[in-house]
Parts: sequence; structure tokens; C-alpha cells
Amino acid sequence: MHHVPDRSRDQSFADYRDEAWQVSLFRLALIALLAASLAAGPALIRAGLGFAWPVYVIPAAAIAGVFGVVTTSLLGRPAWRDRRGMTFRLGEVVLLLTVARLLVWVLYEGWPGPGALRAWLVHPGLFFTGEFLFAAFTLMLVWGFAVGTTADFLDLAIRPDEVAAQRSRAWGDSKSQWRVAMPVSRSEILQRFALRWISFGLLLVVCAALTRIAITTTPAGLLRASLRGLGLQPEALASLVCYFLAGLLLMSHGRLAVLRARWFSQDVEINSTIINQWHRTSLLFVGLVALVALLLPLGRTSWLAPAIEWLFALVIRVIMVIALIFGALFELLARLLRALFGESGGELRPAEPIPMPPPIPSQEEVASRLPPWLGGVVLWLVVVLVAGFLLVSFLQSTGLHRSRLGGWLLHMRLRWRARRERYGLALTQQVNKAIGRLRRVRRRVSPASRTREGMRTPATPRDKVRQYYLSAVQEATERGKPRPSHRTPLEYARDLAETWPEAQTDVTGLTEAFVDARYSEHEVDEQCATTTASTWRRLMQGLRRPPGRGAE
Amino acid sequence: MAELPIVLLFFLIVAILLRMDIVFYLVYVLSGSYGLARWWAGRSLKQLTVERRFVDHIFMGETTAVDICIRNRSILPIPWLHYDETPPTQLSGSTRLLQAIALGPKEQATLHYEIAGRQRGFYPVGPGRLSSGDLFGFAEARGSADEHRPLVVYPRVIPLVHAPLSSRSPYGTIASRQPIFADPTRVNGVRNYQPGDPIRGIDWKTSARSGQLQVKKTEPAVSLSTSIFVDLHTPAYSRSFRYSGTEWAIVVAASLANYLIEERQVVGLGSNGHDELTDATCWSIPPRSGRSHLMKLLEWLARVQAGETRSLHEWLPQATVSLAWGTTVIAVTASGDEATCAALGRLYRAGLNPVLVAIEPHAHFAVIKERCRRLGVSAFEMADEAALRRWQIREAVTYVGVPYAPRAG
Repeated sequence: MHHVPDRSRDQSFADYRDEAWQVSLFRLALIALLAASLAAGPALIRAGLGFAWPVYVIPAAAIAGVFGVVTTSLLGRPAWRDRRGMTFRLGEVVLLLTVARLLVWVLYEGWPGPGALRAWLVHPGLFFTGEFLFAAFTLMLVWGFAVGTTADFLDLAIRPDEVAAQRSRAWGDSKSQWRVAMPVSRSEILQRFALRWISFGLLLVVCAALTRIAITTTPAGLLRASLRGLGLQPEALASLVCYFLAGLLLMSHGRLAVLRARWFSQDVEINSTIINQWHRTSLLFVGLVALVALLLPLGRTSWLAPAIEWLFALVIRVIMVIALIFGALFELLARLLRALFGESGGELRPAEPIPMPPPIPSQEEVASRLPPWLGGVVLWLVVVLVAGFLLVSFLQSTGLHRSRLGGWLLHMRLRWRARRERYGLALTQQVNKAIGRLRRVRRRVSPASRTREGMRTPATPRDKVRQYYLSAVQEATERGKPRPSHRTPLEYARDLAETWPEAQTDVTGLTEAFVDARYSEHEVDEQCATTTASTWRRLMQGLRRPPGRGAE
Repeated sequence: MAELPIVLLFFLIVAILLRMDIVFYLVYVLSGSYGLARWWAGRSLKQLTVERRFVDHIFMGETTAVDICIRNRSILPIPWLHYDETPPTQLSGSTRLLQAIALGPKEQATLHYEIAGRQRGFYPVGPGRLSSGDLFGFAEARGSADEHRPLVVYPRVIPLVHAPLSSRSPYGTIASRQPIFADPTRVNGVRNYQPGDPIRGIDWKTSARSGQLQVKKTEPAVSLSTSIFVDLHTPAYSRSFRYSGTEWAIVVAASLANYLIEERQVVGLGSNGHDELTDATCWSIPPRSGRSHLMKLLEWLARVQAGETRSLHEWLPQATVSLAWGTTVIAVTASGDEATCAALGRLYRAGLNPVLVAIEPHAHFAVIKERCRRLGVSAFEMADEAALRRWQIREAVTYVGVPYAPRAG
């Protein structure tokens, strides 16, 4: 039930909002139903053209309608003010198009294979199949209608500035200073909705009517329009009825909104029974009219039908006779003119030029020509980047990235990143091994390599300690715990201790010895190097065990 | 929604030509809703009865509660009804009635507001403006609730203990000190006969009982048959006192009338102001007694408005033609200008007892008073309420005529 905001007390900021009106579930459901019913129009045209009735279109349209209604309602909240913008809306569009594409793949075309992918790279237009275009157009139509209608009804709510103006009781306080000029009055908003409802309803009926008309050719080759015997799909019938009934009920809602806003601004005391009984009465009224209409004569049983049909046939015949007379007169005039000015007997048409074979490209041109898939790749890359950006923006705006779906997506992303890192590591190892093998081979071949080997062996205890530490770091890297460049040795030691808690003592000892050897200026003796060597051995054994498993 | 009938016509043509049952059904639903809603909206106001209840005569300072009973005689509900009734603008402080209600079948609702009698006058209350409509905005009906009813706010009445007015009318109910006005019906004793006493004054029964001629002693009494004339000719008042002066003149007239009716005297009223109800100017009411007559006088005083009509000195001779000899004529006017004094002097010579009550303060009222005295007219200055109170408690000093004793208590 909708209540007028209380203007008797000083309340918080939230009380200046017409919350009850904005979150009316019944009205939102009516808007979604109205929008979803609109999907019957494209489906009827499609059926009229001889294609099968798309079974998915009404449920998908219902989802698109609910989607548009919900997002527009959310954007109407003050907390979502900063998210109102083109990016959010385009994100919705991308999401809807994605859903439409997936639906078509799942229900009609099947999942695309490598051949299809190759074809899209070379010819991107192949991605946009007729079925996909139909689904995309229908869902976009429904979504757009739902968004527009919901926005209109949100605009009908009593605005905070009107509540503030009503509550101002200070002496000399002009109420107009609180008011923000409304670009369009509520009556005009309601008129706009009514016009949109009627116009789309007209289109729906025209679409339905088109399915009844069969255009055939007579044996003489003339076009002939006749009526098809087949009736409409039950979904189409239900959509038509739902569209008009939901529209009537929404008109009633809008009327109430206009009245209550007018009364609110005029300080009229509103009896609560009006608002409490309004929707009930309108529902009863529309329901009764719909019920009574079922009992009235339909189609051929209508007594008026034959008379009007005869009248129209007469009018059409008269029009045809007039057209024939005018055609004959025109033809007569043309012949007369031809006789007066002489007839050349028809000029000879110039001979069509013989098509020349395409020029043979030179060898340099062939070499410099880009691969045929490059354009498609660039196009799809741009499309994927833009669509991905819009989708991510939409998810972040709606807060869905913090929901279960968002968690799942984040998990997928992290998993992909870990897998990529593993692949990178394995590749690096393979490359390193290959390089090592190559070096060993070279060492065998070149005696100078022995010298270089000797030069790399640590000469002092300080170098030995550093060597042990770096060796341990390399081992940890191979075990999936690389040392990031921004981490200090002590921070890295904590990371290693978290991964291999049983080796915490050795990690700490080795790290301290390394820090001492690396950054201190005093002499590192041989005893220290020996102790570090034993620590390093224990640590290497610990690192080779799987993480989390203690010493057995 | 002006497009809806055209669209419906198109639908009907499509339905008939293509023989589509569903379109027929839609035509029925839409046209049914449209037509029924319009019919319903147009009918709803006709099926309403509005009754307004309130006390239509109040004194200044009182408040009257206005109850408006709205009854739906139809079996169809009225989804919304907006009622708007504005109290008279002169009665500032009264609450404007703005209410939106819904009425079920045969339901009745009572709306309520109050009118404060802040200023004397004759005010139309209502009619209320009604508007109703359908649920979809196809039609809206507007109308008036009922005819307006008048509200009379009586002028302020200041209770007077007594008024030092003189009288020249014998045989009244007011005791007098002048033996000349001895009333043979008010016998208060006997005395010995003296030569020269009229024979008809002898009390034969007492004389027979006492053995000496006894003559009846009678108490002098006068009557104060009065006619009050209020000057509401606006040019007679100075510009700054044009509103407050005329209003104060009406208060003084109402207070004097109230006092005299309380004293069981006959009182008439006249004014050269404009009466809103009868559209009369320069009207007069013959002297009568009784409370109902007082209420009539107060109602006329409530309604009368100052305007540029005939001046008092022009109209007064004509207005007093039918008055009985000795009637006290109180002229409540702005100031005693020469023309007014002369007119009052002529009344004195015609046997009436004229009294001048000046409303506007005048620096040289003593001059006016002396002029009046020479013409045989009593003159008083009552510029404000304090002056009125001073006037009623001071000793009755008469220049012409005979003062009467104040009523005991």
C-alpha cells in the first residue's frame, strides 16, 4: 500500500523519500509483465513469415523485463546516484546480448566449434545469425520498454523537495525555495506512458493481424490477399491480453500517483481509504470488464461484422474502380503523347562492357598482404575488451562481484592466474634445463669453461652463505613459492614459514645468516659457513617435502 | 487519452475485417473500460447529496462548527472525491476544508471545519467545490456541492448599565422625577384634597372611608420610544476613520438597542447604509419591543455596509415622518456638522426628541455640543469604548427634556 509521506513530524532524510511508492512490488511486476508481453510482437511477425514460434522468447523476455525493472528501480535510489550513466546501461546491454547469444547457441545452433571460430575471425558478420539478431532485438525491445516505463513511474513519486516544501513552517519561509522545477509534469508523464502503451499495443495488434493475412498469387499472376485459417499461438493470445490488462492497471496506478501528488502539494487531507482501496477497486473493475467481455459475441457471431465487412468491401471496390479508370486514362494519355511526338522504336541499349579479369598481384604485394584473419581478430579483440569492461563495470556497480556469482568469477580468475603461473614456471624450468644442458655440453667442449666454473665457486665464507641462501630460494621457487622482488628476505622468510611451518627454524636461521653475510661489514668465519651449510641441507630436505606435511 | 477512441476504432475494423476474436475481445475490454469509466465519473457527482449543518447566527468572537455530510446514493463506489470549501475571506483564521475521500456504495462521510466569527457581517458559507473521476484518468467531473447558506455574525454588543437619555413621551414604564409625566395607572398613595385638584383625581373609596376627600398620588413615568439612525454615508467620515468609524457606529447602535430592549422599550432602527441581502439603501425598521425584535435589529446591523449613499441630514426628515410624537431619535453619526445639527433641530421642532452621538473624536466637541443645545438637541461624544463606558456612568445631565431615573439594580 502506498502512503503519502508524513509531513507532520521532523524525521530523518530517508523519510523525505516516497519509499512506499518506489518499492511497490505489484506495480513493478505489472511493468515487467507489460514489457514481457511486448515480445509477442516480433515473435508474431516471425511466425507470420513461416518460422516456428520461438518457445524461449516469452520467458527470456520476462527475465529481461524484470532485469530492466530491477536495475532502474535500484538506480532510482539516492545511494545509486553515482552509478547512473551510460556505462551502467551499456553494461546491461552487453549482458543481455550475451544472454541472447548463449540462449541461441543452447537452444538452436549448438555450441560453436573451431571451424565456426575460424569463420568468425575471417568473416565477423557470420557471428550475427538471424536467430541471434531476432533474440537480441526482442530482448532489447522488452528491456528498453521496461526501463522507460519504470523510470516514468519512478518520476511519478513524491519527490523529497516537495516533502521539504510541505514541511517548511518557518515564518517568512517561502515554500518555493525548496522546490526544484520539474521538467515535465506528472500528467504529461502519464500521458507519455499512455501514448507509449497505446502505440505499442497498436503495433502488437498489427503484428497479430499480419499473421492472419496470407498473400498468394492467382493463376494469372496477380497478388491475392486472403485469410489464414490458423489461429494465434496461446502464448501470443495470453501476451496480448496481459499487455492490455496490465496497461490498464498501470494507468490506474499512474492516475493515483498524479492525484496524490497534486493533493500533497495542495495540503489536502487524504483519507487513507482512497489509497488502501484504489488498487483493489481498479483490479476488480478491470477483472469484471474482462470477464464480461468474454461473454460478448466474438468474431463471426457479432451482428455488426457482416454489415461492416460488406461496407468495407464496397468501399474497396469503389476505390479499385476509380484506380482502374485513372489507370486507363493515364495509359490513353501516354499513347496519345507517343502518337503525337513519334516513337523511335526503342533505342539500342549500349553493350555491356566485358568484365576484365582481376589484376594479378605481384610477388611483393602477395608477401606484404596481411593475413585474412587479422581484421577479424582485431575487431573481436576490441569487442571483447569493450564488452568485458562494460560487464565488469556493471558487475561492480551492482555489487554483484561481491555476491556468490562474483566470488565464483574471482575464484575462476585466481585459478586461471595460478595455472598461468605454473605454466610459466614449468616453461622457465624447461628452458633453464635446456640452457644447462647446453652449457654442460659446451663445458665439455671448452676447457675455459672449467675456469669459469672455478670462478663461480664461492671463495669466501661470506659467498658460501649467500650461495646457500640463493640455492634455497631457487628451490622454493621451483616448489611454487617464488620470491617477489618487492619482498625483503625477512618477509620472504615469513612466507616460507607459512608454507612450510616445519622448516621455520631452518628458514629463519638461513635468512639471518644471509642477511648477516649480505649486509654486515664484519668478517664471516668458516664456522658460520659450516653451520649455515647444515641448516641449508635440512631446509632443502624440508622444502622437498610437500607443504604442510611434517617430518616423518 | 484522446487517441484511445481512434485506436479502438482501428481495432474494431481490424477485428471485423480479419475476423480475429482476440482483437474483438480487446476492443470489448478497452471500450468497456473507457466507456464505463467515463459514465461512472460523470454519474458519481449526480448521485451525491451534500448537506451542510451549522449554526448560522453567531456573535462576534464565537465559533461555529460546520459539518458537511456527503452521502453516496449510488450502489457504485466513488473511488475518489475531492472536496474544497473556503470560508469567507473576511473571517481570517478559519480553516479551509480540503479533503480527499473515497465513498463506498450508499456510504456517508462527514467533513468538519470551523468558522470563527471575527468580524460582523453577512457571509455566504459554501458552496463546496467537488471533483471526482474514474480510476484511469479518462474523465473527471467537477461541480458544486450545494447552494451557499448565509452566516450572520452579529455586531459586537457592549452591555450598558444605563444610558443618560432623556424622553418627552409620557405614559411609559420608566419612572420619572417630573410630576408633569404623572401616570394615573401608577398610584402610589393618597393625599388630602386641595383646591384646584381635578375631580377625576379623587379616590372616592378612600375618601368615603376616611371622611375627607382624598386625591390619588401618582408616580411620574415616561416611555423611551427610540429610533436609532446610523449614519453609514462614508463621505461623512474622515478618510482615516472610514472603516473603523462606521464599524464603531454599528457597535454603538447595537449596544444602545440592546440596552433599550432590555429596558422593555420600543426601539426602531434605520440607516443610510447598504443592506446586502435586500439590496436596500436608506432603510428603517419601525420601533418594536422584545428580544426577537432585537435579534432582527442586530441582523440588519450585521448585514449593513457603509457606502456612498444619501447623507443623513438629507434622509433623516424623510425617515422620521412616521415616528410618533416624543420619540427619541438617536443619530449615530461621524460628527455633528451643521447640516446634521440643523436636521436634528428640525426634528426637535417637530416634536421628536433628537440625540446626537458623535463617533469620531473631535477637538472642539464643546462647540458642537453648544450648537446642539441651542437647537434643542442632546449631544454626546463616543469616540471609543472607554468614552461609551464613561458616558453611561456619568450623571444624567439633560439640556432639553426630562431625565429619568436609572433602573434599580
